[in-house]
Amino acid sequence: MEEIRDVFGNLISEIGGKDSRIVVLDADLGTSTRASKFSKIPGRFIQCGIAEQNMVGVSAGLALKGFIPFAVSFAVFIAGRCYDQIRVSIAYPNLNVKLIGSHAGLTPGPDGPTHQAIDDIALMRALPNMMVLEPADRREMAMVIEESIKLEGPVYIRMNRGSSPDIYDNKPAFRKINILREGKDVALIASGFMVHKAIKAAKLLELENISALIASVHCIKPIDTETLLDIAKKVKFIVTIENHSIVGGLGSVISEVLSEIYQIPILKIGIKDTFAESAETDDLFKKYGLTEMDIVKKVIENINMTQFS
Amino acid sequence: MLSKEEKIFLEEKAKKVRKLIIEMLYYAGSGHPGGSLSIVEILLYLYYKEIDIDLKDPRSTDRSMLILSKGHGCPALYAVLSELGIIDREVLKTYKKLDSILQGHPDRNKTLGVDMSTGSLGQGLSVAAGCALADKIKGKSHKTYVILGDGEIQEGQIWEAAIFAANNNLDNLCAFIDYNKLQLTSKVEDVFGKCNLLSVWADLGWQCFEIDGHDFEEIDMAVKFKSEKPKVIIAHTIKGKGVSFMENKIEWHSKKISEKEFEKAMLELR
Ligand SMILES: Cc1ncc(C[n+]2csc(CCOP(=O)(O)OP(=O)(O)O)c2C)c(N)n1
Repeated sequence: MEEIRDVFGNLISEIGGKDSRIVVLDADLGTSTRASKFSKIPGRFIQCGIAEQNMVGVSAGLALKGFIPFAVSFAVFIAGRCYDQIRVSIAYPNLNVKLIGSHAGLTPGPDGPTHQAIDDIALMRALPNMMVLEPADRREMAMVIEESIKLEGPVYIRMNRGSSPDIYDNKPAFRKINILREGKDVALIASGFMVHKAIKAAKLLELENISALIASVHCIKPIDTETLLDIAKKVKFIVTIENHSIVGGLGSVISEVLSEIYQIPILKIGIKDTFAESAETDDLFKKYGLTEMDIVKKVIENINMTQFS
Repeated sequence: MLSKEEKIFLEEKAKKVRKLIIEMLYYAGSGHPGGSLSIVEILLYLYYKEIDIDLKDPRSTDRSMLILSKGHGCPALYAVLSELGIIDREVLKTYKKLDSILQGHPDRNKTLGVDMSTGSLGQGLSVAAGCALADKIKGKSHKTYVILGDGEIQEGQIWEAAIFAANNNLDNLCAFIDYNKLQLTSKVEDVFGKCNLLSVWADLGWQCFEIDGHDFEEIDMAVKFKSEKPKVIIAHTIKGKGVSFMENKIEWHSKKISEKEFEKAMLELR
């Protein structure tokens, strides 16, 4: 199974081979992020060394001159370490830089909390002008790369390590919340890696006669409010599912938006405002409550909740 | 070499620009006089001799550019841009006021002629390196200039960028260090130690110059010098240059100018 970081590495090299505006910047993690794939393109692969803040600034300069830079590192080192550089040198001047944060959420597993970006969405979406994307499978990843090249302006793309099984049979729609399956009891709204777990949970819920709608949110900012409202009107409650802290991530986005326009309970599955620890990713997902069984349990515990209780 | 006429022209401009800076700061009721007055000659030289802004398309980046990394010195930049006819003289009075195109720190999108938004110290050298690298990849012969504060270079990112620029052979990049020896609360030496800037930059692979940053001929010589490495020009300057009571005074880093002080300063700058 091709990981989404492989999709990134292969696709950006393919596009970059033809489109001379594309440059890729690495900070000594290219073999892990797959940015190194681009190194076969002469002159447009820029090795910045272990100096992410400079990499972000150099990207800004390249964008000023008309290039489309992809600055790539682990999500923690892009969004966290370079927050002020992104804020002042990219978001504020609204420059056409694409930031790729790899190994998102708990997916760096054994490397531990220093490497697990549980707060990158919260940080990046707080920045004006910044678009925040989290693809769930190879089709979403390909779409997100292709579309972000067409789009003028800063984009943060978050990608996980590990396999991301296909969730689509056909092409997803860009910027839209894509409904993968209709349902009338509960809406499972997930992003990235967690969409696949939502699909598994929905199948288990079916056995309990619970009908779950599944939606994939690859575009966390700006959020597709229209589809969100449609979804809310179809179900009794919503469960958001993310590989990120419940502080400031997808669950927060959905709550913030719906609280102004529609009354519906929203429950959040995500990392509960804590640092995790070193372990295999699957074990971490179990310990920190991010498995399909956690989703099922949350739904069953709350299924009798009425809209206004 | 600068001709005698050019030198006189630039020196006259420098007086004018200092007056505009003091006016701007007086009207605004706040701002950074010290670090604005110290970079007047550097900015004037660059904008009159090196950077050819197309008045019809100031936003074009297909030219030599300047990044004022020590963004708090922007009154000097605004004054020079107004002398070039890019910013309306009257607009200078709106600096820092609601709805103004002139922000407290440079804003590339709000102010035509400003090449990059800055204000958080330490970021401009990286951006300049990116511009210089872009011109290299495209085979353009433009230059990228950047002005750094001598306090600003305490930021770690500066040294990331210094290593990057040297290793990428960015001989089209030229950094000025406004070496006025003062920062916000103290002397630079108090926090940076008595380090020899010249040898540090040289060791990293930069071509180094040490000049009087208020002398147009010395600026000209350093800028014109052909180099195969990125260039750093350590420009000895006086913080608050031109206004006697502001010169070399830490408190004039950022201070409201009273009516009396305004009158005194304008008299001195006549
Ligand atoms: C990252 C960051 N930290 C702190 C400040 C606040 N600040 C503004 S100017 C200044 C002193 C700058 O000293 P220097 O670079 O020597 O500039 P100059 O003395 O020429 O004004 C400080 C600390 C800032 N703008 N950015």
